Amino acid sequence: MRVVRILLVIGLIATGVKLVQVQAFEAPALSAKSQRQRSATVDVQAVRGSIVDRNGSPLAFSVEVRTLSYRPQAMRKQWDQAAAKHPGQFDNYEAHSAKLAQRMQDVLGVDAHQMLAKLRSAAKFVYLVNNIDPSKARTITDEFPEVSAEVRAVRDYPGHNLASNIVGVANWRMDDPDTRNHNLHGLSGLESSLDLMLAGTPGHQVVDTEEGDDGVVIPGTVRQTQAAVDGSDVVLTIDGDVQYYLQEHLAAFAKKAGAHSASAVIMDAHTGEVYALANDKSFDPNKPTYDNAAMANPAVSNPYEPGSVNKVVTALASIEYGITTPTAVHEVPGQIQVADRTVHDAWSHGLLQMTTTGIFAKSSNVGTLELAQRVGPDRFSDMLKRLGLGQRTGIGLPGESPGSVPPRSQWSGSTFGNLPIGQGLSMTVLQMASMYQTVANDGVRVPPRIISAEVRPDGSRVQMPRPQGIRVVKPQTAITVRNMLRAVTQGAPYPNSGTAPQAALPGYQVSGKTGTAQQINPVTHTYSNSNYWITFAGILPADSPRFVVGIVLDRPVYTSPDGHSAAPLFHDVASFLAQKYNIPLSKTETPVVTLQLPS
Amino acid sequence: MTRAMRGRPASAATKSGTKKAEEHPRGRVAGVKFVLTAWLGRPLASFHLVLAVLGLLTVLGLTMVLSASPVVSAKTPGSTVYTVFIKQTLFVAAGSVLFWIGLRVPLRVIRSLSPYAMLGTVLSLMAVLTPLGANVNGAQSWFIVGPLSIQPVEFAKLALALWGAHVLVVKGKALRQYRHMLVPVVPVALLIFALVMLQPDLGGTVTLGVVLIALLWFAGAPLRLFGTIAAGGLAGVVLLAVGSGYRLSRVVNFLKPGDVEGAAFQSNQALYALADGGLFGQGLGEGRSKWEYLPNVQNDFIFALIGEELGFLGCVLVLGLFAMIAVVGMRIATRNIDPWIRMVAATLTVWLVAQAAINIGYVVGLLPVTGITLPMISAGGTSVVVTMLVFGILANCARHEPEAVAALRSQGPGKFGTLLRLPAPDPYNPPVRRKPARPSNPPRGADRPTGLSGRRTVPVELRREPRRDPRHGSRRGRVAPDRTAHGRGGYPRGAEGGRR
Repeated sequence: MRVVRILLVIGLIATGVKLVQVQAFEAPALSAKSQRQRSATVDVQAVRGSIVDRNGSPLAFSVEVRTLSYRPQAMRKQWDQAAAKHPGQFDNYEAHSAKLAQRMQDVLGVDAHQMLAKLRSAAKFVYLVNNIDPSKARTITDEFPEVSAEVRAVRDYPGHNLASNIVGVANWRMDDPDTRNHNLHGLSGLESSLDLMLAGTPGHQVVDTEEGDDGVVIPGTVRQTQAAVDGSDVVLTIDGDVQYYLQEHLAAFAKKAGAHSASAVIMDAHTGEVYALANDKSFDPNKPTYDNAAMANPAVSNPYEPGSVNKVVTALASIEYGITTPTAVHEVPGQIQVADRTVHDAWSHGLLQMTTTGIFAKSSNVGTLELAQRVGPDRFSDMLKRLGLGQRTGIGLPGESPGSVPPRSQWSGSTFGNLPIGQGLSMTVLQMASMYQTVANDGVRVPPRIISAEVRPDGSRVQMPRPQGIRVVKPQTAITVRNMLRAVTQGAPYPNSGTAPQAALPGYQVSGKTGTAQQINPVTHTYSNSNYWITFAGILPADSPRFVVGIVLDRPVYTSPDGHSAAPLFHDVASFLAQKYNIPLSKTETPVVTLQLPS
Repeated sequence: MTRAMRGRPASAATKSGTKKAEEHPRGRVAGVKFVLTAWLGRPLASFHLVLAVLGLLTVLGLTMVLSASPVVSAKTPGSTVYTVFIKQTLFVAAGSVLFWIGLRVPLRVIRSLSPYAMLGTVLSLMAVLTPLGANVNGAQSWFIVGPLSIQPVEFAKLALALWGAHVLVVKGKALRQYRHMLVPVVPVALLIFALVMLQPDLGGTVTLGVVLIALLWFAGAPLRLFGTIAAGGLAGVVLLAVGSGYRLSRVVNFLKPGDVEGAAFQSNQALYALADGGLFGQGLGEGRSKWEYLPNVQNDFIFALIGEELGFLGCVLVLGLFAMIAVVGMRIATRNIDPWIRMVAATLTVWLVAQAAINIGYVVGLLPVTGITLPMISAGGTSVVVTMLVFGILANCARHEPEAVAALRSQGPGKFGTLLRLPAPDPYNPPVRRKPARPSNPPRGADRPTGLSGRRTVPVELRREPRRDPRHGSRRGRVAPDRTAHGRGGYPRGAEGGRR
């Protein structure tokens, strides 16, 4: 018995000796191997920042989803082999893939036949379903572990078409060969131009995971963490409600007027913050495919010739330099000769006695050119520059056009016959509205902005720098011009009616200016007599400005009732704004002024 | 404990001893040794040691099952995270009842029941192969009754040990002939082996083989026989291995390590787990291997998880506990005088410790993988229940040490005994001898054919004589065993032969 006892103890000691070998001498090498088999680098996604409007309502945000993928070739081999080895115990691949496809149809609502075609293809790797709910993906991968689920994110645009031309669209990119860099990136709009700010930096960490399932992290094994830095949220100056109203009504109006396209902007009269920036065409970024034409933002990228709206430059300059006063009376003939060109008014008339106000309210080309001549080309050119024409506003949207103003040195004799009446130069609807913002803001132009702030992942809010205001004219000049332009909406009996009495809003004083610009006929390279840009710029209310509205319609049917003026749309927009922001009524009614002396 | 230590006079616990300990560092060691010896010299020391080891193993086992099983448990359809652990706890509760039964039922009753137990297990081993049994993981090894699953092979091990010892002890001197040594124990054992291999259950067969070899060894079978068995066993292993793919791959894997995939996967994962543990371990519950890396981590390979979570120190603790079983079990065997108790205690001890050594051996990579569980620690219902029954019988044997019998009979059952309502143990009553077949009773071994017992040239009595400590029972101040009642108190030699 002693022998046995010794034998037993020796047996135990032998295992102890082997333990010393395994747990001490060979431990580092073995540990390194075991570490390799179970540690996994887990990518930590950086959540792409949201884009919200000025009230915090989201225009775009990210949602985590899964994409299911499969290895048909390898799985076919594996299942068929298992079925051949243990018949009855395992399905063959045909039966197994049918089960999987059916289950996917039940859980995900996808078409089983489509799935089956993918599963039974000869490909090495296929994506089965994109962008599905993580919990549903989990249901599938739990039952069919050979289906792998990639973590992805999709961008959700809760407003669909709302502000889509501004916000743009981001989608999942896999062009980088390093899969860790696969992420959401912007395709258009702010999603594209602010990509660096929105995207953030993905991180990673090393964890130990369960055998066969990298999704199960063993508790307490997270290490070497490089934290992901989420993207910043971007706060826009857009007001979603106003944007929606403008988009809907602009599109409806453009349709009614038969316009090829239309753009409009609403900005704050004092800060230049853009409350709404709309085009008649927009797209739904939630849909899988987009109409390229609708993705553009012509409001900032397509300049046009403004027409009579540009007469405000002459108005400002002539008041600023003391050339005239609103009530001064001018003799306005039916036409005027500038260099080698003869310019007519929009309506034929003989010699008229018009007040300065009347010249602008009735939009007399001849009267405007007379005043412009007295301002002189140099001071006029300087005023164009100070109003920001020919320069980008720097609103913060991609693809902004600076418009075009011929440099003073290249002016021909007739140039000065064109520019004061808004032909021969081009501007975006933003630039146009910005000119009127100068008038509304007592002579200080604040370049328009659409990005209000960045909200960092830590919650800190970084206000975007406010652009420096530019003093364009003396405050009194701006007020005088603003008051003059009230007459545009004056609905007095002939001949004291302005060009846009439809723009008037009962209870509010409203300033504005209509414009009708001839487009170039691409065939003849001359100004067309049927294709126009119909424009309108307005200030609400004129006595205490809150908003500036700019509208442009491209090639409406000029002969149709809605095709020759954008004033009715301005009226609707102004009415909406007045209600939405509870704008106090003007203290006094707009005084009726004399535009034209009776002949 | 060695006889030498046990033999120290208890009366030496005087002040001189402690004084000495204060004076010399050497004396302090001696003092500790002395106190230890004094404690071990108490009549119920073996009994208390068995209880202590069982308690420690049970707690350690439950703790490790709780740590190892949640992942596997949660992945099993229809179970929660704690299902395996709760089952194990219930089995330990059931095992505690069996432990108590094994401790309480008088040994002579157990002995008299052993032939029926043997018959019953053989029948149940046959029944399990019929549709009455259930096939789990490719082995027809289980009876499934409601939520319970029972493996009859575990009971077969115990029955073989009890019945084998009974038969061999009854045969007595007849064992000198090969015929009596081998029949009927070996044929019955072979029948059981065959039945178990039909399931198939290699691990169960190996353990049964260990029980058989232990029985033959303690019955005093000649070494030559073991040589034959070893050769036959090796041939059997080769045959079995070649006959079955998974066993062959296990053996090949053992002979040619380094292959990380396939058959070697489990062994390698066990080594990884042990290596990750290092000296102090990752900490209880922190093991990584249980996250599906190490298959069967909660039963066959739980020792690897002990190594990973509790480190080398935890492993040494487990090895130490099983070494303690070896020492205490053999001490119980040596100190008893009833030859059946001696043989049963020794065989059960060998079974438990060998099973642990084989399990730990293959976990650390010393042996090829066989599905043998680690007693008391591996999750597994029948194994734990039967092991606790074995501990109960072992503890019962400990209470039958003559000194314990005397103490219990003279001083009452003590607190523990009262609590468990343990009956006083019966003193050994040697069987009435039949008249010897020969006129005289020559020294044992003297009449053996030389061919059978060539190595044993010295008669047993003569060989044993020097080992008997003349101080026994006389100068130790113990309560002397009741000599008058049986005339053979003290430490007589076993008349029925066998190894000491």
